[in-house]
Amino acid sequence: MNLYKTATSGTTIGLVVVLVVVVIAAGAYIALNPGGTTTTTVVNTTTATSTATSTATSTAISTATSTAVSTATSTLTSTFTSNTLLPAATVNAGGGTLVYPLMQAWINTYSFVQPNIQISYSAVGSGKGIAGITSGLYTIGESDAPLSKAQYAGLPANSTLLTIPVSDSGIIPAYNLPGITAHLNFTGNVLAEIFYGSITMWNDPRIANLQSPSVAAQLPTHAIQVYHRSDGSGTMYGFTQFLSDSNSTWKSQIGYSTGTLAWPVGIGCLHNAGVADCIATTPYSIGPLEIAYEIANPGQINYGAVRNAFGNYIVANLTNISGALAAAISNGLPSTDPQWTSYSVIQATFNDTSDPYIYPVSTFTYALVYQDLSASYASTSQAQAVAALNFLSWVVNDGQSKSPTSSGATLGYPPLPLSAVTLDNSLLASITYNGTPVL
Amino acid sequence: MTASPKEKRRSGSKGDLVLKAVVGAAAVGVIAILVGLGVELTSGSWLSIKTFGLGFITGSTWNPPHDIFNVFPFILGTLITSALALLFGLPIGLGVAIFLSERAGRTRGVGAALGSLVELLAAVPSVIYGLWGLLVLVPFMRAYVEPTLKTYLGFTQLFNAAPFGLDLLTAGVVLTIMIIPTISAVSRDVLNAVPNSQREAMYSLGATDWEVTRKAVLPYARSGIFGATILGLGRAVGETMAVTFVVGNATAIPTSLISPGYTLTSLIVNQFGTTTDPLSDAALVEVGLVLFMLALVINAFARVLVWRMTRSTRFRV
Amino acid sequence: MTSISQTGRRQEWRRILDRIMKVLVILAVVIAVIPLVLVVWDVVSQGLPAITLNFFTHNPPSPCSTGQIASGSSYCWGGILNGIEGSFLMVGMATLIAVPVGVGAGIYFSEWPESRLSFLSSFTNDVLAEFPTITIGLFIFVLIVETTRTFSAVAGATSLAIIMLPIVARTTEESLKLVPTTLREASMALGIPRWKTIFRIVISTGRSGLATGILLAIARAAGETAPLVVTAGYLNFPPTGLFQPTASIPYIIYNFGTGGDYANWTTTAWGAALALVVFMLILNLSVKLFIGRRFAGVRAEI
Repeated sequence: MNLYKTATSGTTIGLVVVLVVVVIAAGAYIALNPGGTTTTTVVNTTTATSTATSTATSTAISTATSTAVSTATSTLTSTFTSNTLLPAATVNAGGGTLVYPLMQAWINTYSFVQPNIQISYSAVGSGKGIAGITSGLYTIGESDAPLSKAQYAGLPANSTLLTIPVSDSGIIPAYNLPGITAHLNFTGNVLAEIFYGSITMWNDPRIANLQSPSVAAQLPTHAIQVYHRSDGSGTMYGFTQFLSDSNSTWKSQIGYSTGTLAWPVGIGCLHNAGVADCIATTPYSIGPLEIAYEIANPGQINYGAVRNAFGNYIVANLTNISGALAAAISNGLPSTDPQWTSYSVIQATFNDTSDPYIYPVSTFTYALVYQDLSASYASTSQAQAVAALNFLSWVVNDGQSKSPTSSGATLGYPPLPLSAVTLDNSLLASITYNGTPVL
Repeated sequence: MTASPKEKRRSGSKGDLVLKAVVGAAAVGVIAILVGLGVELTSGSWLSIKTFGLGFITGSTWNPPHDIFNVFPFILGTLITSALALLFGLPIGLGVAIFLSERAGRTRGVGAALGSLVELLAAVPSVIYGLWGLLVLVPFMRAYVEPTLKTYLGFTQLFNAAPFGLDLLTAGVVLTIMIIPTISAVSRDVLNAVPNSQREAMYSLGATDWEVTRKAVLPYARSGIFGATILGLGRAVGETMAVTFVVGNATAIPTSLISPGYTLTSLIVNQFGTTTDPLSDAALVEVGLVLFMLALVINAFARVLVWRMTRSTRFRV
Repeated sequence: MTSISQTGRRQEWRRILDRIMKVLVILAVVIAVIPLVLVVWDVVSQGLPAITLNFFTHNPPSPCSTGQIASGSSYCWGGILNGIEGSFLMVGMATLIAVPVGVGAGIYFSEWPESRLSFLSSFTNDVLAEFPTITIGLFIFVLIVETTRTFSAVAGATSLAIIMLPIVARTTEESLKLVPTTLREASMALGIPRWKTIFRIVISTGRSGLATGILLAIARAAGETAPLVVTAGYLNFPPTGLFQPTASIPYIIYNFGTGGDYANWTTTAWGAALALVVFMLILNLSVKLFIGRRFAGVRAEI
């Protein structure tokens, strides 16, 4: 017969019992005492007026500011002054990965403004952000692209979804060319051909012809290593939409999407950091990168200038991206849901020949909220509705400012132009709960 | 005892019935979960099954904006990375198992310590292997291993691509690390189950240790070891997080071992957020269904083999 | 079989071969152990800088640019408080679900092994044990998350419970089966009803095996990531309710580890990885220490 040593068994049982009891007790304690250890002081937010700054240094046109830009950002003051302590609520938000770091910074800073409110943001992807709003999973959806016709068709009957720009995105062509420090010039068409695989060598005449003679002479006789994102993202959406507008072959063969794409050539790297790392470690490579990465990690990578509709080659910075979007808004943003399905910010800036200094590969990223938050399909309680709109209002007004703790700019996200802020405030004011406006 | 034997028996049998019913319900619950999984996956992917039929697994284009979903490249990726994992993992796992089982008598010393360390490999969560793989292994492969492979073996198509680090080979290496504990633990159990009489007979004829292992133990344990291998294969096929970090995430058919690829599991994790319409949703669930059926077949096969080997030695008197 | 009558050279070759194979076997063990050493080394060296007392009492920080980090602003460091609390909550709930069901199923497998249900269910149990966890997560996503219209700790705990269940059932079955039949027979011969036999005698004899199973299942659940991504979501604060998104330590590693754009996020991920690895090692080592070799082999495939 083979019995066990009861001595060791006793110790074991004791250990297990203690562990399980501790785990369950901790779980029960946490379940019954939500909220954790956030501070309880309410911070009165005041916002500084923002001034337009530029962080790029280059010989191409990048430091000039257009008139649209200066009026857009120079007089940005906060209209958000509420500091009443709101009741506890946890708000479900989810969507694209592009704005995730900024969203997290906003959420953390906002938790000092309103300590009883916790916002949860799941960076599941724009597709799931839209799906989440459709199914009521999220109170605030986030997408890097407006809804398509099919997605609008999938929304609940008789619902009105508001598309609210909350931040900007600018995509730069980053590259690694040993010995060349100047910003190379690109057009959308040439970029499309590079990423399609039609242009394979750096010293291809199609690239050389865009450069000044001294730079053209430096172009090496070497194959181009193409990199792109392996995961779907708003960055790729904006970039491929720009390529589609520039090149009909790209449009018909590959198209654009916030999800995966059938890239004809090149290797996929994960996230902006992955693409940057890929480019940094591979000479003679090129890849599309979000401007946020460059600003958060300055000087690590070279990037080129892109030609806008006016004909200038623009090196992207926060100012000319905001300016491009201000120019797009001045042509009017769609006001009703169906109008958004055929509207493209990239296309608006692509065709804008009036403004000399805008950066053409610029787009918005949007929050999606139902207009009637009390409807059953919105799955939102009153407290959640108040919290959600308070947060969005803070984001749109305070969150765009230059204070380090809440600023998108420090993280490299261009701020919303003033016209967008005004538009957003009016959209937010129109959201109701049981008939009365929430804000 | 004042109760009559009949009363005691009755109360005993009532308790027996209750216990049997309760634990029986638990057993039914296990089956219910698996059945529920299968039903859910099938119903969720119905739209995609109707649209693509068998072409889903034979076609090789995955182009979401144009609503084309075929998964052959990903099946290939799963099979290749798992095959690599088995290729490296079987010799190592078997070696560890032989080492541990032939030293079965000792519970102290370097041997036992090494054995414990191998088992601790299984204690590290897969997401940490993924993180380590991405940040440490990939640069190593990219800088040292793959250029060497390309230089010396590049004439074969297998290694003829730009060495990048994020590829099937690296994923295979990470999977190897993760299945070594599986193969070695099951193999060790299997080897331990070989009756000592077999060994003793060989020793008495003057065989060396290795000859005993090779000619008496291994042949006896053959089907069990095969079962351990299949279990390892099942583990490799189902592994998600570690592979997602390092496999390269490319949707085209991979042309070499050092080009980026995709596996069925990492496809689901990466694409989960990007589906934008019912068809792409269904396609993703169908990937899950393919995975379900693959895992079912592999694990069922493995269990049958391991059972035959070890079941008979379960009961002790 | 080799014959006994050998020439001297053949004897020598056999001895050499034996030596070679012994070296190869030891080499295999060393190769198997190297990755563990490497991984632990890297996790410790990268994660240790992040570990301070504050690491366990604060939530993860906001992303910081290199400039902000260099300036040493306290805004840029944080911790994994939300992950610790969330993991405790969800693993605790999962244990409450998985242990009764798993022990129950294990008892059925071991005490009524002849029945068809036992065969089928035990088989299914083994299949479930190796199942790709992402599909389990998707299953719960459709079942619970979409119906309750929220990511939740409950959904996360349920998916963890499904993953823990086969481990508990299997180790319960195996440890109960190792209890000698003579004990059962002796008890029944004394007139003790079967259910009392099972509880009082069989289970208490096999209790260290049960304990191992529970500990190993907890270890497995604490390290799972993929299902939590699609069931529990994420919240940068400690849990606010059972039906709200909830953080977990593996999710922090996954999320912040791949957000390499921000160095303080990567450091947080390494620190979380270190905390998790230490927890796992402690759990596994205590299983070995207290229970010994018998159940060292019966451990969870994570």
